[in-house]
Amino acid sequence: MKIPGSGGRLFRKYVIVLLVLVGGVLMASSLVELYFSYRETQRAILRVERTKAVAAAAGIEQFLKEVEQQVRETTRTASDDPDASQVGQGKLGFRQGLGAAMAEQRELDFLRVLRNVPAVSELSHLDLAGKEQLRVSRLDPDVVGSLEDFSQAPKFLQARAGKTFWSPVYFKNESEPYVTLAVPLGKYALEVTTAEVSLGAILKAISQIEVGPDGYAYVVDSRNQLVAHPDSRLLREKRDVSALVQVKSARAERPGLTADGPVAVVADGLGGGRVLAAHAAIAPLGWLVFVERPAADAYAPLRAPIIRSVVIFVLGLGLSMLASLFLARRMVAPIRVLQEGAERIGAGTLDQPIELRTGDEIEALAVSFNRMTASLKESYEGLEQKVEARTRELADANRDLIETLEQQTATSEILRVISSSPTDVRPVFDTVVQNARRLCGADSAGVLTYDGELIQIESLDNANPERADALRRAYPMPANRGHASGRAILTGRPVHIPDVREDPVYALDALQDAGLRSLLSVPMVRDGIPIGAITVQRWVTPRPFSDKQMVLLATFADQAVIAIENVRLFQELQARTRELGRSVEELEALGEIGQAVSSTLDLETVLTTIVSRADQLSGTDGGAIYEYDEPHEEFRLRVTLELEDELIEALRAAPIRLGEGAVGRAGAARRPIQIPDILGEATYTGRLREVAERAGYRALLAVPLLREDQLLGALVLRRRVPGPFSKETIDLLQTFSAQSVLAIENARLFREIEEKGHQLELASKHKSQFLANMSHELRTPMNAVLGYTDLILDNIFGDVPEAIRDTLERVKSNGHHLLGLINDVLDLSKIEAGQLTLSLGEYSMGEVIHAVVSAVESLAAEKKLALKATVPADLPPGRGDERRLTQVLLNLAGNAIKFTDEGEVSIQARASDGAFVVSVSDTGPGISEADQRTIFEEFQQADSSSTRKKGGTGLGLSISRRIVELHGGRLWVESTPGRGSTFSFTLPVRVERQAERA
Amino acid sequence: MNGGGFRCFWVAATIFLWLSAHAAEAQEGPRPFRIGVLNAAWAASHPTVEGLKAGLKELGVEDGRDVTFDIRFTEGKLDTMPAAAEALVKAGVDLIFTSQEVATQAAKDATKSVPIVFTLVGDPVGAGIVGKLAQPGGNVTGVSSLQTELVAKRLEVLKTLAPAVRRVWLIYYGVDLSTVPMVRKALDAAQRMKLEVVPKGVLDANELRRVLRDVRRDDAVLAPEGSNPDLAIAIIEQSLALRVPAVFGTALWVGYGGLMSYGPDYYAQGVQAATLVAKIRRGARPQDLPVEGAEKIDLAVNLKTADLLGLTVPRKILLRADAFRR
Repeated sequence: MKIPGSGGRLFRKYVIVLLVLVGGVLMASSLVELYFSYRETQRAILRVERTKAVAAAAGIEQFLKEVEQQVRETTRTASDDPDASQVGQGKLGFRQGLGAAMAEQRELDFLRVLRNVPAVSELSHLDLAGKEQLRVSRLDPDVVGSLEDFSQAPKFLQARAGKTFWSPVYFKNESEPYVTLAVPLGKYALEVTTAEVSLGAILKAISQIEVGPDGYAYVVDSRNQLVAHPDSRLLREKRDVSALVQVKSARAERPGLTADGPVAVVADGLGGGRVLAAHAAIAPLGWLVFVERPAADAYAPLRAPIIRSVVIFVLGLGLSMLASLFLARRMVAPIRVLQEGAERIGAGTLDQPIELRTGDEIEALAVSFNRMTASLKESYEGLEQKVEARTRELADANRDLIETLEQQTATSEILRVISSSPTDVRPVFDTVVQNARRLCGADSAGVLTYDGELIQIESLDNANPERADALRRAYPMPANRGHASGRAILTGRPVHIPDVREDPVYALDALQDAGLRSLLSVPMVRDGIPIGAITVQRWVTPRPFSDKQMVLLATFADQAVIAIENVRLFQELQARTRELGRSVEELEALGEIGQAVSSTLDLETVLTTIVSRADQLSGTDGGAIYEYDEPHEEFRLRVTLELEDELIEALRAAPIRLGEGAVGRAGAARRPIQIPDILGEATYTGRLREVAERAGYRALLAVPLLREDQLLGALVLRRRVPGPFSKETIDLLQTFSAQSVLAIENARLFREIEEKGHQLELASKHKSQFLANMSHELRTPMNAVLGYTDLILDNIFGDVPEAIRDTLERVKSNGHHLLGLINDVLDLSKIEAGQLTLSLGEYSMGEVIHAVVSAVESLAAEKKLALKATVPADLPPGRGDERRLTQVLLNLAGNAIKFTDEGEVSIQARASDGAFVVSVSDTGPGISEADQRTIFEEFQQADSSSTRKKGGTGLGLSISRRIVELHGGRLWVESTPGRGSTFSFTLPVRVERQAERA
Repeated sequence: MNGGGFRCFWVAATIFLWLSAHAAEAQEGPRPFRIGVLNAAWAASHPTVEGLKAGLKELGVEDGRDVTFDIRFTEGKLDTMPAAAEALVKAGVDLIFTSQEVATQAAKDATKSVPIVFTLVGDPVGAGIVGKLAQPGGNVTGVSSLQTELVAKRLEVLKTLAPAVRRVWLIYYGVDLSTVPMVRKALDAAQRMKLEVVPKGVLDANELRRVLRDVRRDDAVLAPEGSNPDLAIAIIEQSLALRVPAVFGTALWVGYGGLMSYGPDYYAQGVQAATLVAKIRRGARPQDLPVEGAEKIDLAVNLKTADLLGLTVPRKILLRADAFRR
């Protein structure tokens, strides 16, 4: 037996081990060296970067400080300069002269700064108020006294606080960075000088910083925006670099630690790629200078060492390869000889020894091999007999195993059939008898059931048709000891009859004649009650059954019981589920109908819902609801469901009369009437019988709709299948009929209410319209009467005798009273008729109150009442109908004075939450609680008797309340009899729209 | 088998030797960067060129070692400019350094790839040389001499020095489109300064002389910037003859008797442009380098001319001035 390639495997293994050893050592040493030199280079780069960053930061700081210094120094104060006092003093007064001189000096100072500091492009002087007084620029014309206001600008505010202000960086032409500098002027920082400073110098310095071939530097301001960067594109983008790791770490650093602290990081660079970054801070401004170099630069110095290492590695590898080739060759050759010898032994050639003379362990191995070959030869002989004996034992065990396996397979097959057929026991029984016959080695087998009286054959497995016929003929029969299954069922124990001819009690001669000899029957028992048996038979020659077979049959019997039990439980469960489903459906239907009754007043909808649900739940084929017309004693069709057009036509043409047909009878009897089959019932002789018959209806159920014994209609269901309706259906239909009654009632009541409301509204409107027209008609002649009376009293028609004058005066005063009444009625009726429109405009509540006070002052004085008005000065301006509001307040104040005999009347006003609250209080008799409710109604006064005494129409309060309500406000009274009354109203300060009819 | 091992060894040794030899070879330095210069000067030593050289030196770029110059000047002739530009491109220079619009335009027409850095261009956007100052586009960038930006300031210094002036003749080179925004701005500023500005486009000195015949007392002349030295010389002559003040764009002409100038220094522009040149030399693309405004802006006054015109130089001018000519 030759193993292909096995000769080379060991050889390769040796070569590889040697190569790995030598190569590994070489590689490890090179890698360690490379790693350390990489770290060193990185550190060196960072050191250089850091130095450059610090230098650049110092340079920038120096530059900015110098600019600030120059701006401060040169513009320190004009009055220090002796030149200032020499200019223009002669012409002007000292003060103006000094001012002008200082202004001019300032301009000169600014020019000096521009000349001395190239970075400054523009200077401004802001005066005390932050107004720009002077602007001197390098590029643009100078401006004197532009008075541009910078008083709120940060540069002015911060400089005025005595601090130097540096603005954020901005870009001119999108590429030239600038900052605004503002410094306080003079010792007291009263005025401010601002300068626009170009950062071009910084940009240039930054661009010139060189760190390696690809390194660069940039500056970031306190808001983490790029200020200077060699690449102007990045500047133009106004890059926010706060997200960069190096910026974050620089910002997180505490200023005190920067000397030698962690100042460098490896991070993503601005232009992408990994970089080594170092930074330095420009402390006063919070700016940062970054110097970065691609991280890859750190690898550059490693190129030469890498090449060196590779060469050494390759050379070492070559040498070790040569050495290993030689060594491996020396070791492998004798092993090959050994291998060939071993192969010979393996092939069975035991008489050819291995020849090997190497003088080492391998030769010793060869000798051992030869010894082993000799002893192998000896032990071969005794082996064969042992093998034979063992094979026999195995065959026996195997048979047993197969039998058990078969039984288990049968059991599991039966179980599978049980689980796959939960509703039917027949397949289970069939499987049981087949397996029982086969495994018990019987000629036939059967499953029998017992219902307490008779034993029946359920399933039979018999190849011989004659014997099967004999068995079938023998059953059913009662349980008795005359046959095996009867005996097993009676005793509840297995019955074994080895030979029926020798059994004295066995009674079935017919079977005995057919050749039946041996029997085994096992009862099927559920909860101690036998429900059947499994019987196996052997024919022609008696052969007893073994105990094993009996046990097996008992197992089959148990399984059959389980199957029977399963089916029973399943059927029960199904019945329950059906019942439950039906209850749920009924509940749902009732819920739906209840919802329909309560949510819609549309009778059609509700009744249709009821019929369709009733039909659905009762499983009928159509239905209808009739309404009962009491005067005519007729049922009229209201809604129908799935009724044939012909039937509907017939019903509409001639309504059903009371006592006619199922519906009529149900109505007359006031109970449900059903006709299980209209063809079979002699009593069903309605006119519709033929039509219904043509439509295929056979059964009818009619339920009357009753309200407290009053007949409202009927609910009818029709079915195409004849037969009585179940009690549940009838009960259900009665519930539905109750719901229908409710719906019909609801609809009727709603109709009535709607009609009444409509009539009332119309009547009220007519009344108001009439009043409005009438008042208007009354007012015109009344005005004429009063006008002419005035003319007469004014002696236009000649002197009026004293007696007549007196009478005319009464005519006039009563006429005015009448006119007032008419006006009030007109107002009220206008409001009632919805014709009163507010003319909304701006008004002052204070003025309204003052106008009212001055109008009623004289009335109060006449009655010696104190009149007070409390109006806060800061009432907001109102929007509303001023004239009407004055009318309201006049009415309230007039009433208060009218009904108060002593004490005071006071008016208070205030505004809160966007609303005015105005109150009029008096010390009059007060109003009882009962009267408080009525005084706001038309023509009501608290004391009817006082109407005659005090006058008035009793319309004022009613009108006032309407006016306030039209404004969206509210008017009410608080009063205690004997203690006076307070009438108050609130109304929104700003009324933009008239309220809907109050 | 042994023979194979030795072969491996020899191959490895050969690779090693080749690698070390190759590394030694790479040590050789790069060739110098060749700068072509193009302008209308009369000599190679134009102030912008001198400024450029000084600026490069300051940046550590050595003439001869790091850069070489190929200078083409047309001695005032503008029509030979395109040919000179072509020649430079053909000579294979790495960058063209130009002064003034005509040279820049010629260089721009001659090449779309060789980077161009310009100086003394009054309004690079107006002249159509670049698209936007911040993003020039194409292969051109440089230093703008702020002709448009500074025109109002020029009127202002003129009025400060000669307050009696009521009317200013604004002379510009007629074919130079870039002067349009400048003229517009001057007219606008004049209104605020209560001056009358009369823009006059001319093409050569003769036409200029004809125009200046209408100049009266209390008038002044605003000279065009760059473009053509003939015009500047003519203005100096005429203004001195007519005794009217004239203001120039650069201090150069104050040295020749011009009254005053306000504008960028030529030399300084050269120095400023050196930064751009150095950046391009190191690999930057011109379209990424924003056009810079001239940084150094000088006010120069010729006191002798002022005397001649009977003008007292006020303190404001004296303080502001960077150079005097006595």
